[in-house]
Amino acid sequence: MTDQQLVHEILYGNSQKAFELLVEKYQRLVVMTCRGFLSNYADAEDLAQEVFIEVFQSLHRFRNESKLSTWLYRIAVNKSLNFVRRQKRRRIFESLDRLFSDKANGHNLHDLQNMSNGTPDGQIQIAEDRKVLKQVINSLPDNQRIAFILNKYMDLTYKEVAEVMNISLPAVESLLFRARTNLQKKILGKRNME
Amino acid sequence: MDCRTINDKISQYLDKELDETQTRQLEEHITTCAHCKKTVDAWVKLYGVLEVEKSEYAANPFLTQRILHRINAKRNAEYPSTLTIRRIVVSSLAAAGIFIGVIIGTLFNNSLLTSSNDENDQPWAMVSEEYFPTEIFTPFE
Repeated sequence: MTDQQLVHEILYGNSQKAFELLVEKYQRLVVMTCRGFLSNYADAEDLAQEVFIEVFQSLHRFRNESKLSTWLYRIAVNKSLNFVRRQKRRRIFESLDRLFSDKANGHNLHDLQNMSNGTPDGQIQIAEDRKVLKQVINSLPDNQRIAFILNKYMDLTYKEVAEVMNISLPAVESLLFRARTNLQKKILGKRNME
Repeated sequence: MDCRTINDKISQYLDKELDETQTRQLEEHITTCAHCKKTVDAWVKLYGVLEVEKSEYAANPFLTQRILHRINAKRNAEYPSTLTIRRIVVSSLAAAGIFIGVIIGTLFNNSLLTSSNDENDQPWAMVSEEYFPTEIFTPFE
């Protein structure tokens, strides 16, 4: 079934089966796009559910002017950015809470001990690299981050990134170049700090 | 190509977005320039970390059902069931009927009260006088 047929079936045939097919077809695309912005799979899957619910509710607004996948990428990116912003705000409040809490230091020490127990050095290093990379990616300006994640996580070509972001091809090249330069600077900065 | 141009083109090179000539020139350069080779290797390694993360993806077989469940729950919250709608309509109609009844009753009662003030003006009083004259039909004392 083509995307057009799927959309038509969901809208006019009121077909639950067609929607199930759509979710199965684009599950990876949505979950991985969200994963690119978030730090764990559980959050990415929760957010993917919200993306598909929004897709279901606003499918009548989809005009077939762009590809269905492009539309899905846009919704997933917007939802992820909003989620990350909410998380940041929550973290600020939590850190303020911790600042006034006596228990904080004890908890951190306990967490660290749990993490290092029985974990091979190599895995710690990979996990550490991923954590650092994730932090650095998340610190990029929104446009650079979106371009980088779509290109590196979703393996979209520059042309496809341009379509999703609704910008020109040279603009994508420039965003990715700046993203790489910023990543390099930030990673080097972190290493120097360590 | 000089080192500066190579640095500008690394992203495109790793993303396979350079044309054949530029790819060949860049590859020739990194075979002779240790610094640029190191930079390219560092990026390949870094992107490898992302590849590990990407390879961990596994489709969740329950995701579709969870989504459908949430959609139905939302729908039920937004739109009450047919039974609820029927109950609301029946009770509203009953309430409206009682209200209209009370209004009509009150209006009718008011008209009777006002009519009793001036009996001669009322046609029904004249008619009763014509058919049942007071002198004949005097009530028993």
